[in-house]
Formats: sequence, structure tokens, C-alpha cells
Amino acid sequence: MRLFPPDWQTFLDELVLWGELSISARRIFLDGLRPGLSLAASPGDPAMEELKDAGMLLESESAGYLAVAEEHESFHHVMKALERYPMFDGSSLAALCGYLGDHYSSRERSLLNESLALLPNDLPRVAGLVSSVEWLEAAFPRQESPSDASGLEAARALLRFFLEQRDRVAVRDLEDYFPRIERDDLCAGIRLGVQRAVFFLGLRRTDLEPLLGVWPAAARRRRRMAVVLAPEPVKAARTFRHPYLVEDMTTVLLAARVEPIPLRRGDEKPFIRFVENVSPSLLSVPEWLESFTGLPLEGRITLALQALRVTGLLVPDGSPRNGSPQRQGRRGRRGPSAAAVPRHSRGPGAAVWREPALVPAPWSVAWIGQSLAERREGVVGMLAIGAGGPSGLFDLLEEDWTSSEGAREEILPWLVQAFSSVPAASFIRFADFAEYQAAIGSPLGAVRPPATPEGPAGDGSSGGVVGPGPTTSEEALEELWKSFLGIFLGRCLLSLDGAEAGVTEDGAPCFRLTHAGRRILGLPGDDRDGHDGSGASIIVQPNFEIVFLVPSPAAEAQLGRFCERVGREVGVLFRITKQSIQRAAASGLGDDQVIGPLESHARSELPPNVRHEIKGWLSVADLDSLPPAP
Amino acid sequence: MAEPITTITAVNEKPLIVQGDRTILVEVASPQYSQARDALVGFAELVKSPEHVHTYRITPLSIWNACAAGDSAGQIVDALKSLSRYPVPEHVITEITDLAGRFGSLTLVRGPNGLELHCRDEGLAALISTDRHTGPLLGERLSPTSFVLPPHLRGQVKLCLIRLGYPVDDQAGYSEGEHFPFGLRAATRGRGAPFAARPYQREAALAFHAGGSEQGGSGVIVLPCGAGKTIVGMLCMGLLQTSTLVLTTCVTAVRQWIAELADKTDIDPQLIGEYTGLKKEVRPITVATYQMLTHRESARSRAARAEAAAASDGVEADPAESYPHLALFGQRDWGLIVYDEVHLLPAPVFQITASLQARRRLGLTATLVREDGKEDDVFALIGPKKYDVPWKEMEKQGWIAKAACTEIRVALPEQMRMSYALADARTKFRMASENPAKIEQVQAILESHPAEPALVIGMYLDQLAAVAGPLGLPVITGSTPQRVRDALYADFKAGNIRVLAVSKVANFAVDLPEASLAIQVSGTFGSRQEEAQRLGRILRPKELSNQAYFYTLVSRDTVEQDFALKRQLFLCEQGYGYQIRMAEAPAAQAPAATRGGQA
Repeated sequence: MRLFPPDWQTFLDELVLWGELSISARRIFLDGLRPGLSLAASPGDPAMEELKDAGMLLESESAGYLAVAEEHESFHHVMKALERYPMFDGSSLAALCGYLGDHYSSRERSLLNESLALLPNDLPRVAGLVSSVEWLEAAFPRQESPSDASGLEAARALLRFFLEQRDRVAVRDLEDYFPRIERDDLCAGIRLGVQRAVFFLGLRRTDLEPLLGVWPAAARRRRRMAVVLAPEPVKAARTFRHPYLVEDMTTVLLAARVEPIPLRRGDEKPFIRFVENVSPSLLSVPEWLESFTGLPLEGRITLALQALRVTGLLVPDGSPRNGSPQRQGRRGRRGPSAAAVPRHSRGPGAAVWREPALVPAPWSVAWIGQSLAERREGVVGMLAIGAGGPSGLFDLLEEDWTSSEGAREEILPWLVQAFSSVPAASFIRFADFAEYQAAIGSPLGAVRPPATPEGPAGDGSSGGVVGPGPTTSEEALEELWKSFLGIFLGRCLLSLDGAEAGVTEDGAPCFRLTHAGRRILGLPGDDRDGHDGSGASIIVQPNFEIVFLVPSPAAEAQLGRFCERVGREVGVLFRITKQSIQRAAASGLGDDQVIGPLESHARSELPPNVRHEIKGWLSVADLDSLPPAP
Repeated sequence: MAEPITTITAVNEKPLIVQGDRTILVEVASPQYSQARDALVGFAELVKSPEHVHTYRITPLSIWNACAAGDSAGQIVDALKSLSRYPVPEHVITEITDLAGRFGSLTLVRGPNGLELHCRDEGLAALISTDRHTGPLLGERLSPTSFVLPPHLRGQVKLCLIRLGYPVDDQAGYSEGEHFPFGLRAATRGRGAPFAARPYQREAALAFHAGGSEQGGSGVIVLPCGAGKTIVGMLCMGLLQTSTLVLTTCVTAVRQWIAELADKTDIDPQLIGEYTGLKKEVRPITVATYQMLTHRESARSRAARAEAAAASDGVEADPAESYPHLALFGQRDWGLIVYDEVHLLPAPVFQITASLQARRRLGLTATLVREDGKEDDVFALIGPKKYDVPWKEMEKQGWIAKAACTEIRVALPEQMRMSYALADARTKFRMASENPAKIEQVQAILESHPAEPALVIGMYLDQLAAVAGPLGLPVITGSTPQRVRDALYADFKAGNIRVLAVSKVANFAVDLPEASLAIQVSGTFGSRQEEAQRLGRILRPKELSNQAYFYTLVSRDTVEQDFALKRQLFLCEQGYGYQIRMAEAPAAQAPAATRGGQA
């Protein structure tokens, strides 16, 4: 430890002197003086006089200048070092990285933990480790050397104090707090704790008083964990459970069968026109769920497109059609970029670039023809954790900081641990779940942002990070982790029937994991809680209106593909028209996919005129077109 | 593989779903359906009633009507909440409360200055006085919250204010009109058969009359075709005991009214006048046609009159003077004006009706649907809907015949397909409508119903001739002289003629109670009103099975099929099921001598 006091006893004595100085004097001692340099004397300045009286400043060799007295130079160095990084007030991981970089040698860092043995200069990793609750709880398990013996008990006592009472105290007050611990032992305990990066030193900004303590956020979390219990089961007043992502994928894919889906060149997202055309066909989710997942219709379409690209059901127009399903990555990276598609030549040697577009892969026909359960199983099979490498579920997220393989490897176990702790049969409030998980800890401190290859060199800079990084405060990381859990829940679990969403009487979102969700997370489980979701929930009227007496996402998803949307959730939701049926026919739907769902969801027989008209429209025999030439 | 679960939260079985656009769905199968329907009738309008789920709509007029009947916003909202399966949308509750709150904010009374319009507050007074439509119509300002209202602008002001969103509580009363006492007979004058009004007819009349209070005396009664609206009109007249002007659609209807009045009341037939192109009788009870009132003088006469008016006093000629017969409204002190088939009210009559607000006004119709969308004007100037019964309800109770509706799709002959494909839209419709293959279908249908008195109805005269010719059917069109029409109708009623071919002259107001089979060979594009009226021709209750049959012939895979769908929708929304059949291949022609219109 390069700058820490070699002799804590002396340091404590110096602090007695320091305690008698006014703040102004302290300020001059710290700010006005540079190590090895003199300060111009200001005769009559009370703070300077104070320092001179205390013997901390002396006349230097240069007349009219003052310098730090030799016996206080060491103290001065230490105080300057402590001032550099705010460890307790407004602490951040960036500051911690700088602190670790300055005060610990590479070797010292490598000895902190075997996981750092080969990566002592990965300061974000080190900072993430030493700022965690686990680090505190595992501190001082045993005596590692004879010299530790006297300090171990003191260190443990100090740690207990910091965790249970206050996370920092003024160093010069330590003896008052621990009157029963001999000074030598106390100093040994401090040295041990600092050596092992369990205790940190910093300056209190208000009065420049040196403080000793543990990482505040870790202490806070530890205290909260003692208070924050595992979430209790709650009762859901309303629930929703349906693999809406699979339904949305199907609907978007059917639209792609009519015409390719054009994408914006800049961000390869769909045009608003496409979104507006497809939105009415999507099933409704309750407003409370939409609010919770943050996925309005447009967001769902984008998510569905992502999933279709990742699973290879949609491919860039013009890409080789290899005919087999394989995961493509977030933007179909295994195939040619959607933007790199030349238009068909208009003349010899001419190639014109056109808007990128997505078209269905050949095997998508077979996928569409499967039952909902089979389709979902196919998607889950490709994306679930354990499905060949880091989970493709991350490809459904828009969090750039999770795009690297390393980040995913870090985050994955935490995700699995977090959601696998959810009791299977009970709903829990999401806020309680997220709070508890944030209190336990998160991997975000250790996740290196992809924008900074080496992380900060010690000056706290990070070079433009999107997402978590060493510049992000603990609290922000906690919030980010909570938010991430919510995003993962909405996009990867709820959307694939891996969880059932609910809302309590007082409007708090809640959820429970399903057996399918366990499968998605790569945990042992089966689909034994799945069964045929169809039920008699609609009435088909002779005037071609379809009335939903109860919400039925399954029916809504199916009917939306061949009916015109009129309403949402309950009431008159759809109207069957000639145009809607013929559009469906153009997308490849036939009798079974139109009349079948109507019959399976209807409470009573289909009106004969409705059945007759649908069959007629599907057969596309329109005399308005010219008859075929003889 | 197990399908994923789709779970829906538990729902109750209450019958209503209130939607955000103020429509209300009512599930007929619900055990609380009757209770819901009875509640809704008070503050919502029935929009459509297909088989399983009926649709009502809350409109400003329906709310104001409920308020006029004494209901409060709280009662309406409580009724919705108690019967609704899901929470009533908050904004709907807010709108109901707001609308109800507007009722009573404007009151029309008769005061020392004549008609006085009183506003609830100065803000409202300022609003209406500065409105560019209403403001110029208001008379002298009596106070910060009241105005004089010129009597002849009473209706127009009420119409403008309703459009502004503020109903007028018209307490100014009616002119009683010339007292004319009469009673209904216990037995008909003609055959001596017992006569009594049906319960729903009495209810409708009482709803209109409202005990003679200001709450009643103006409104529309909606009853299905064949339900006896004429009887309802007579009952209303009997309750008011005042001279009455009845307006209807054609001479045949005029004479039917006169015949019914003579047959079922003790009115001296000499006191019932016909005001048509043929006669100009103005009596205490006078029945006239809309066409007569909207008959316009020639352009030359109009120009001459305008010149004379300008020369005499520099004032422009009154446009209403272009319609000389509109003066009929002022020829007697009418206490009641009855608008039969009120959905056909022509625009000039609308205008004059606006100035007749001091008279009681009764509208009668089976279909309030107007192809021009002026239903609200009917309500505003004639009055709100006072009584309404779904067609299927009437059918269930046996007051109208049950109707089996079938659409038969007939292929266009092969040799016509090319020319059809190349034709413009209007020609395509005509070609499809006049598909010669339909003739054989008409024949087949008539043969399958050998005992049913039938009407063959079409839009195109050539087609009717082509259909009627081979079958030897008599044809009634617009050019058929009235005496010939009357004779044919009489023969049909007497059973001497089994089948009549008719053009759209028989769409409405033609009373042929015996007809139980209608074959529609062509129609007016997508007119739902026409479809309903044609069906109405055969809905009079029948003896024995009380069953009627309605066939529509449509050329398959043509534009006619698209239009037929729209027409079909209307009937479906009244609760009628529609069967669709494909015509069989053309059968061998039977000898013409065995076919004909003779029974």
C-alpha cells in the first residue's frame, strides 16, 4: 500500500493534532501545500499562524515561504492521497477504481482474491468484487499469517461495527468507540482491514476529517438485506398469461408472406407504415401489463421482428436461403446484412441498392402450420438458456451493454439465480422481488462495458460508456439491475409464457414463474402446466361482427390475422370482411386457419351465412378480373 | 404437445359490456337479459339486435330523453354498473354526467313576452348568443340569462341548440288545435270483426301522449313493418281528440289510411279528406302525400313571382312559396301532425316542420335508418324516439310473422362474363341485377311454395317484364294507373291473384297482409332501408304457421353480391338469420301454360 500510513500509531497521534486545527488551517494544509513545495507565507493569516503554531508548517529555505515540517511530511502525503478519491461522500465505482489503482500495487491486488490472481489490473472487476456484500461477509474468515493474529479480532470488531451501526467513523474517534481494544491491536486491525480492501480511508468533505469505514453501498445493502426479506406471496386480482411474442411473431411473419418487410436503412427498424398496418392484428394485452413491460404495440412488433431474425424465420431479402433454422444473432449477423442487398439489375452490369427488407425463410411455412405450443417450443428451443452457448434471450434485449459474450456470461448466473428463487406456485410483487435482488447484489459492477477495452487507468475516466460502467454510482447500478430484471421478465419470460403476470388489488404488478419459465432459464422443469388454451369466449354474429364476452388472447391473436380490428379486450373486437379474408388468403391462410379458430372459440355455431361467405371469399373467384384466355 | 395456458381472470355472467364509444353490448342468453333491456330502453337507443348480442348506444338525445322522463345521471350510471360485466369506462360515466347536466340548462316557456328562452347561467347565455348559428335567431334580450324567441323560429332554434350540445326543455306547450272528438270502434265497420288495439300499440300511444303533459306530444314511434303503426297513429289521435293532418308516402298509402280510419273509428267518412294529385280535400282529418307538399311550381312561375316580389317591396320572395301546397299546414288549426314513414321526410318538409313546433308531432317508421344520415334531425324536429320494439321480440310474441330469409346465388351465364368483366361499375351492377338466369330461380321458388301469396319485387322494369312475361304475372310499376293498381291489390287481397310483380312503388306503405312470400330479384345498391321495407311487406301475422319467406336473388361473384351483403347486414342486425344457397344448374324449361300468376 503505497501511500497508506506505514505506522498507524503515529498516524493516530498526528490526528490528535489535526483535530485541534481549524477547518481553514486544514484547508491550507491540504490545498495550499504541495508535497515538496513551499507555500508563500501570508503574514497575519490566522490559519497559517495556526499551522505554524502547531509545528506543521515551518519557514522554508526560501524566505517568505512555508513548507511542511519534516516530521509531518508523511502525514501530509497520506492526507493528500485520501483527498483524491471520495470514498464515502458521493462515492462511485470510478473513485473506487482509482483508489485501488493508486493505493494497491498490482501484486497486492492479485492477493486479494484468487479470482484476481491473473487479473489484478482489471480494476472494474476488482472494484466490483470489493464493493459487494459477499466480500464483506466473507472478510476475515481466518488468520492468514501470524502477524494477523492481533489484528484479526479487532478487524472483526471493526467490521461488525461498520456493518451494524455506521459504515464510517472518524479515525481519531476509533479509540473512543473501541475503548476495550488496545491501541496496538486496533492499529493492527485497521491495517489488516485496509490491506485486505475491506476497510477504506477517505476524507469527510465538510471538515477534512479522515474517515475509516467499509464501502457504503455494500453496508447499506447488507443492512437492507437484513431488513429486506424475501418477497412474500401475494394474491393477484387479475392475471394474464399467454405467449404473446410467439403470436406476434406469427402475425408479423404472415404479413411478411404478403410482402417483404422494409427496414429503415439507418437502424434497420421497420417503417411506421408497417407498424400501423400490423398493429391492429396483434392481440391485446391488459393496459396494466403493457405499462409494466413498457412494450406498446410498436415495441411488440419490434420485439417480434428481432425474435424472427434471431430464430432465422425472417431473413434479409436476397440472402441465401439455406432452408434450415439457426439462430442468427440480434441482427441476423450470420447472414448477410439486411442493408447489403443489391437490387436486381435493370440493365447489364447495373446494380442499384434498395431499401433493406426481410422475407420469410422457406422453413417458416412449416413453423406457421404448427400449433401454438409447437411454435413456442421451437422458439424457446432456440433461445433458452443452455441452447448452445450464451442465451439467445439476450438477443431479444435492446441493452447494448449485454451484447458482449463476457457480459452475458457474467449476468447469466445472476439472472438464473434471481428468477429461480421465485416460488413456483405463488405470485410475488415485482417491486419486492427487484428490491430483494438488488439488495443481494448484482453483476453490474463487474460487467465491463464494451466501449472501454481496458477500463479506467486510474483517473476515473471511462471513455464514453453506454450502460453500467465504473462511472455509474452504486445506486444507479442497483436501479439499472432492477430495471434489467423487469426488462428480462417482460421480453423473455412473460412474452414466451415463461411467467404469468398479474396485478394485485392495489395495482402492484406481480408475477409467478411457470414450468415453461424454468425451462427457458435452463432449469429442470416441464410443461405439465400447459393445456389447450382454447375456450368458448366469442360470439360470431350473423352481421359478421365478433363479440368477445371475455378477454381471450388466444382467440384474439388468431382472429386478428383474418379479421378487421374494431375494438380491444372485450366487446366487439373484430369484423369479418371480404377484404380481411382475402388478405388472409394472400398470406397463405386457408379454411382450417380461418373457420377452425372461429369454431373452436365460438360459444355457438357459426351463422351459416358467415360460413358461406368466408368460404366464398377464400376461394377467390371474382368475375371482376378478366377470365383466362381460352 | 400441451398448448400453453391462456388464463383469464374470473368474470361474472352479467349481461352488459359497456364500450368506450358509448355502445353497450347485451348478451341475450344472460339470465339478466330482460332486466338489462328494460333498463337500457330508458336511456339508450337500440342500434341493432342480431341473434346473440344486441347493441345499444348512449347518445346525447337518449340521455336527454331519459332526463325528460325524470331519470338522473346517477340512476343511469348505477343501472349500468349493476348490470355490467366489466367496469364501466370512466370517461363514459363522465360523459353521461355531463350530458345529463346539460338537460334543463335551457328552458323554453311561455311568458308575458311570448316565447322566452331561459338559460341556467350567464355563461351559457353568452355562449348561445355568440354562436353564429343560434345567435342571429334569438330575439330581444330580456335579462342576462333570457331571451325572447320568435315563435316561427322555435324549431330552428331548438335544432341549432341541440347541435351545439344543449337540449331545450320545451315547456311552452302546444297549440291545442281544433277540437275533434271521436272514438275507436269495438268492431270494424266493414266486416264487423272485433277490434282492439294490441298491448304494444297501446303502450306506444301512451308513451307518445304522456298523459297530455309537456313531456309528450312530440316524438317518433319505431315498430317493425306489419306491426300496425296505422293503429298506433289512430290511438294517438284518439287520445288527443283534435284535428289531424296525416302525411304519407303515396296515394295508395293515403287511401289505406283513409280506409283504416273509416273502418276502425266512428269518424264520419265525410270528415276525412284526401289531399293528393287527384283530390284536394281539406277536412278535420286530412291525409296527404309528401310529394304533394313538395310539389314545386315551374321555373317560369318562380321567376315571375320573384320579379313581382322584388318590384312590389324590394323583398326577396319566400322560397317556401315555391311549394304552394305547403300552405296546407296553415289551412286548419291542426292539433296533431302525423308523419308516416318519417324516415322519408323530404327536406322542404323538414324546413316547414321547424316552424310547426307549436303543434304536436308524431313520426311513425319501421326503420329510422336514413341513407342521408339525418336521423338526428328527425329527432330534433319531430321529437325523440318514444317507443321501440325489436323485430324479433315482436316475432316471438306472434305480432308479426316469422321470416325465413334466404339468398340464392345465381351464376352469371358464361356468355355474359366477358362483357361483364369489361363493363364499368354501374353497368356491371345492372348486368348482374338483370341476370336472365334469375328467371328460372323465380320459377323454382314459386313452385316450391305453391300456396303462398307472393310478391316478386325488382328495381328494373325490363327485368320485371322479363320475369313476369313467361310466368304470366301482372306487373305494377310507377306508371301503372292508380285505378289499375287498386284493382290488382284488391284481387291479390281477395286471393284471385297469387303472385304480383311489383317495382319499388310497393317498397312501403302498401298493405298486402296476405303476402307471405317475397322474391327480390334486384335492389337499389346497398339500401338497407329498402331491404327492410320489402321484408316488411310480408310480415303481417298469418294464420296457421305464421311463417313468411323472403328470397333474394343475387348474381354470384359480382358486384351485386357485395351490395347484397350490405343489405343483408341490416336484416341480420334485426335478428334475422340469412341462409345462403347456390342456385342449382338450370333445369329443363317447363311448359309456360302451367305457370302463371293465377291462384
